[in-house]
Amino acid sequence: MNEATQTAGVLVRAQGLDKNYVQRRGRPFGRAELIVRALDGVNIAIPRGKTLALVGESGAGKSTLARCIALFEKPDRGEIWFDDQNVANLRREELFPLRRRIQFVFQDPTSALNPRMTAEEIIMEPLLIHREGAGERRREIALQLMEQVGLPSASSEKYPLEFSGGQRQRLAIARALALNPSLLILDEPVSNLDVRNQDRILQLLADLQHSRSLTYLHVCHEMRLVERFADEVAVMRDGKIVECQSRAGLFGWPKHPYTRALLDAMPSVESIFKTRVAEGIV
Amino acid sequence: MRYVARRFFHATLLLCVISFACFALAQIAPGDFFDALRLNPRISSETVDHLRSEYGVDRPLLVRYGHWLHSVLEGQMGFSIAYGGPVAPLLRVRARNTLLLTATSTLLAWLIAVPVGVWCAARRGTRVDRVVGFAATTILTFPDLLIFLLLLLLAVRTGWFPAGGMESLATENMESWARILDLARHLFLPALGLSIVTLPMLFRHVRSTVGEAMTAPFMRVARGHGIPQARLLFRFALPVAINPLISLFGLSVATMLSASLLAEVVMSWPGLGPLFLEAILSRDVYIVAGVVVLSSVFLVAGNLFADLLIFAVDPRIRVGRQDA
Amino acid sequence: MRKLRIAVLVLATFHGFVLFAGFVAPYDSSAQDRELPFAAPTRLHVVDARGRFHVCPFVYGPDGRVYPLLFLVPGAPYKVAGLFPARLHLFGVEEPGRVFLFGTDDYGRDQFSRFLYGGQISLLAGLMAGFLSVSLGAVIGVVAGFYGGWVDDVLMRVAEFFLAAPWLYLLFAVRAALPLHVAEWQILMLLVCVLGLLGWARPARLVRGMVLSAKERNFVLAAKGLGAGDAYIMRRHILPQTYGVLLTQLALLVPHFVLAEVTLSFLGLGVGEPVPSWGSLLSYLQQYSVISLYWWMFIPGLLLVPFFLSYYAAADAFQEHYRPVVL
Repeated sequence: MNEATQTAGVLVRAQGLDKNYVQRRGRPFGRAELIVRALDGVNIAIPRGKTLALVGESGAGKSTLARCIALFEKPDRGEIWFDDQNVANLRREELFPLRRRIQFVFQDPTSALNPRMTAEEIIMEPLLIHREGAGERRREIALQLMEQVGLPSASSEKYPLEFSGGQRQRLAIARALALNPSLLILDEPVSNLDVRNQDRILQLLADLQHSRSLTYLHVCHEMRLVERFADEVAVMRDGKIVECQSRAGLFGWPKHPYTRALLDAMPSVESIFKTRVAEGIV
Repeated sequence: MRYVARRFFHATLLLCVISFACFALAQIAPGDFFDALRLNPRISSETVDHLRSEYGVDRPLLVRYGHWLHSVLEGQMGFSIAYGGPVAPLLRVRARNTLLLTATSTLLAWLIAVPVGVWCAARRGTRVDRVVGFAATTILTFPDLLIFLLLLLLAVRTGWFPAGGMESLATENMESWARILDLARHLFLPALGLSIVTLPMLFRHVRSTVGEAMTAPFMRVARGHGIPQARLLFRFALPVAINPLISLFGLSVATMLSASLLAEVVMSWPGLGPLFLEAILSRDVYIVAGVVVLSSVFLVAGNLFADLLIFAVDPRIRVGRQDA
Repeated sequence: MRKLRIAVLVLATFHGFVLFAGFVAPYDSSAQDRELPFAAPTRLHVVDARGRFHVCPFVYGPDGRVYPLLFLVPGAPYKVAGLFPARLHLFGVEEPGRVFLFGTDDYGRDQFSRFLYGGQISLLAGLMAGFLSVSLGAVIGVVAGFYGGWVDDVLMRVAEFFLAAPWLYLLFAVRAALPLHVAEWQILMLLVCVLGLLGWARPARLVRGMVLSAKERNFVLAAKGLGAGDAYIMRRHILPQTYGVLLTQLALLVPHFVLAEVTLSFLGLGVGEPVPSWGSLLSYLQQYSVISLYWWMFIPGLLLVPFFLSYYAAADAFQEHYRPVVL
């Protein structure tokens, strides 16, 4: 359980989350089944207005947790509270109004955008689904959002193909912001980008958080990035949260041996410097 | 063995469903065999009614179906009103002719398609491959009907081959080798037409499956070992390509059935096709049912044979089965 | 691209001529000329017996006189689209001259005109059945792919049956179930329905495959995350991904169904006399005398080849154009 927050300042709280996936092994008629415990008794609390980073190796369950919190999937067991409302087992119709407040940004922006829709259509889609505004007003909102994420509104009629990787992610973020959500769940949003773009997008996210009072759940596997943007950090391993602390606490005095191993594997300042020289940033 | 038994069971079930559906369709259709008689003003309607009840045409569907099933099991397969006799002997003769035609064409088609396909697969992208591929595509764009008509034209204009039928009139007086030659002359054009119709797709499939097998990673390893091309082809590539080819054979039975129908009618080959057509036009319900069931039997048997062949030939399936 | 242009041109010509059959054809499809049974195609000349060159092509009439080919002439009445009466024809010659571009049949009916009118039946059947099949296949494919589970299983089993069945046999059997002596329109409609119902399996399978892969794409998940309903997602996100497949299948199915109608008419099971169809035009060739003496009766069959070629070329082009773009 997180030490450094009070309940009032918590936007999302989850307790005792379990989720299993069943994989059938081998041939179609085989009886061997593999049960993967993606989440094993996970407790987590995301403080309002702050960024909680979720770290761990691949396969640790970070994406699964992110998806459960995003209400894409239902956990097998456990509860999730969003703003003191129990949301884990709501029906579809009840979830609908909630969806405006929780949005998701995918790791690969290319697959997250319909290649046959123009940029403005993509951003307007949430407004369409939730019947916000009408016609021209929607378009205005979409263009404004494009400006806010750093995309020229003149390119609003272009297709995702015509944007670069970093721009596509900006587009995805713009779409996520269309309904003024409170919580943004970011699943490795910069992992597919080159270092320069990583910097830029992280900066954009920080700016947006500040101007819109957003809460972030940011899944990331690179510790050096986490050090930059996180307020609090939760470390996952094999479906469990092994440590959860403020950033300063975790990087300064890691409690769990696994955390220590992760930090040790982090590239040092000199090697980061060398990488940046090589990529032409410095 | 359980696998085989299960397939047999499914097959029989399918045949029952098909035959019943056929019967039901015939029942829905307004009009029956005796409608033509009714049009004749000299035959009184009482006679027609009497004939109808005599032939059992006015009894309810299930009763007729039951009688028919019984007749099938007895080996008679119902009664043909037009021919005035049991259906089974008719079907037997015609089925034999159809089998002769389709077997010959299938053999011919495969004998040409497989070697040419393998040859082209081994020379992918070369001029020869492209020319042959182009020829195959060209043949594909010719409708089946047109191909048969053109062959008929050939027969009529050149007189090298007879324009129809299965035997010349004088066959009773010939010795056996002359009769066989005569049969071959009559068989040639229909069989040629049928194989031309099925060749292109077959060729394409052979070429692509063998081509894929040739470029698979394990082939590159073998080539890297210095194994000569011919041995590579026969020992390594073909066994891999065999599986999809056998499946293809199973599928081709269906296309062959459809195509042979048209071939027989156009080229006057006395097989199931013309009989079917006649029966439809005259509403001879038992023949229609009989032909549909028989061709379904061929279809199912062909697929079953292909399945069993794969089972025997492909070690992967055999081993997999044993584990389950 | 150039191949496609030629294909489109050929198809436009065919369809255009057939659509405006009344205008393009010089004669009515049932107009008989008992004096000229099985006449060879009328030869067009530009140089007459005296060696003079005529700008306008002409034909020789039965009296040996020169009859020039006239354009935009009044002739036998017809109805445009079955509604508006008209008398203007694209070309013709004055009586008693005759211009039989494709020769005549045993009743002396102009084969060229009959070819155009017959095309109306054959093409209409092919196009309608094609659209029916593709639409049905699209709906079934999307439903099967989107919902998965037992719905998918059942639908795909049924599709397998339809794919594996010998189509001509099925067609015959169903045609056999239909009454033989029924109004032409009804036969055509029934035929179209049957063909359409037989042909949905392959498009359905292909669409289902595309839906299965589209379903997993993140933009669909994103839409779900926005709370979008199933119908919206199917319509807005999944269906557009299938357009390429659907167009290609349409381009392949239309000629297939046209051929099916032609085959049925050829065998006497299609729309009957006196309505011409390409198949019934070809059925004369089953007679020994016709096939050995009157070569022009083959023309409708030969014209099927460029027709098919063009549709196949179009299908190729669609497939190329809609190939999934790999970023």
